[in-house]
Amino acid sequence: MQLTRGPVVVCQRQGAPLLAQDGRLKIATFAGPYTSGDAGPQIHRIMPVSRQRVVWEIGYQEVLAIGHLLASGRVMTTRTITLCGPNDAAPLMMTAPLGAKLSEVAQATEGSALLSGSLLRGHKTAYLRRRDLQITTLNGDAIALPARPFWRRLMETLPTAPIGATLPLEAYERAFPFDILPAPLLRALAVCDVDTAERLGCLELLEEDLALLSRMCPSGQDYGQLLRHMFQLMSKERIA
Amino acid sequence: MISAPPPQWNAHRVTAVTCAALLPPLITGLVMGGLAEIGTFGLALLLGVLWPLLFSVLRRSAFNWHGPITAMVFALLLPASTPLWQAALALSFGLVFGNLIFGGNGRSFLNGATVGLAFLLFSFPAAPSNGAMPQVALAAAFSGAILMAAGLLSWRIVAGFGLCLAALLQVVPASPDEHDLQNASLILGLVFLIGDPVAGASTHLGRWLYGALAAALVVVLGQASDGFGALPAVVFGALLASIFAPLLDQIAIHANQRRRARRQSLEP
Repeated sequence: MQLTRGPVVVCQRQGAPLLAQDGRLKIATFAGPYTSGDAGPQIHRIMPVSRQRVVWEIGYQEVLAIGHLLASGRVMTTRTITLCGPNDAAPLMMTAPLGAKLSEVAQATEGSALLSGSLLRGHKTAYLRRRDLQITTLNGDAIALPARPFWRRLMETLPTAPIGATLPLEAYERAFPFDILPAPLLRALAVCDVDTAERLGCLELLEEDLALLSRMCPSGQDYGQLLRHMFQLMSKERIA
Repeated sequence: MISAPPPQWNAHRVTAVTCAALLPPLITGLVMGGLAEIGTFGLALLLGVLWPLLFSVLRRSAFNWHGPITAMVFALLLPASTPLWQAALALSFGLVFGNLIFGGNGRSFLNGATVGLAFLLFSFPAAPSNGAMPQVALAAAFSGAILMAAGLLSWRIVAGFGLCLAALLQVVPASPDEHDLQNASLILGLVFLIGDPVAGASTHLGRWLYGALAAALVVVLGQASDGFGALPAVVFGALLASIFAPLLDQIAIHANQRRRARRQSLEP
């Protein structure tokens, strides 16, 4: 069985190669903090996506599941997930079925909430979502960060601000692991300028790649959602 | 490198931090100017609330607290002996045509205070200039440090401005007056007019070019008036640089696009 005729790249962390490279099979290593482990920045670095080129990505656990299916003829319905949270003393790894009920997997304490996914991109749902391999426990809605400076606490007393305009801050470039200009892109997304966004490289991104920028921008807009909306417009345009 | 969770900004928090940064020069200016200044600041504050309020009522949109900040920056840079009606007219023009008709802060490409001051200097050219006021300049430099630490003032713009200014002062024929560097207009203008993230460029390359362009304009315009620290040089330098900022961004975007197009042929 062959899934693709194109090159296949195995992304791993730096160290001894997981398998031998030959012909179509290549190995790419990644290192760095935070989002550097995501598929988006790695595809951007190795083989950028465009209208002419499509890249598929698959997680290692899905590869294991496919292998299991081919070897044994049985579908593997469990995944290894991590259970952690900002207030968890001991994060742990466990095996859970696909779409497991969060409250059954993680013993929720009084007044705590469970997220499917990470702290930054997780969603408050009852069940583990399709691609999530992590459950985050929260104590209430607030995240108990260790001692914040007084001005941070002072700012938290301000009322909630309405959705505003994109503010082009210098910090975006540092938090964005793509060779794509973040401030012009966010502006194009905010005004739904499809042509400019495509020119700036929005086809290389997914919702998860914009999560950190959405958190940083004072406008309060969810740029991931705006990006998805733009993709829908683009596909409609293509069909028409 | 991201180690700590990034600050969760929103429009109110940006306004609050800018307001806190504005306090040192504001207090210094009021102490030095005396009671005579209170009227100007009060009027500016009133207009800075009224115009955004009018727009938010007419457009049924949320009230933006950035208006009072624009008004305070305007009042700080205003020449001391400007008649109140002239100040009111210029500030109203700046707030409405520099900011509000575009949809408020963040949607305009100009700074309201810059537009207002440019209007004042065009319409009433006899307005005499402020003195150097090194104390206010020092307080403004402190504001700049606060804003830079908070990430609301780009160090690239300031560095581009400083480097270009230093380079140009080497080649300018007339020896520069040292007092120009301590001029409150120059430092206030750099921090609050030129350094306004909305009025400036929004890419790294664009920010360097924008800072350098602003410095070049300030020096050139300063040659024509009384030194590069003079208010007209700073205001018109900031205005022209803001107008060119989108073009500078386009240069950066074009360079980025070409680089990415080359990477399209990349094979693993």
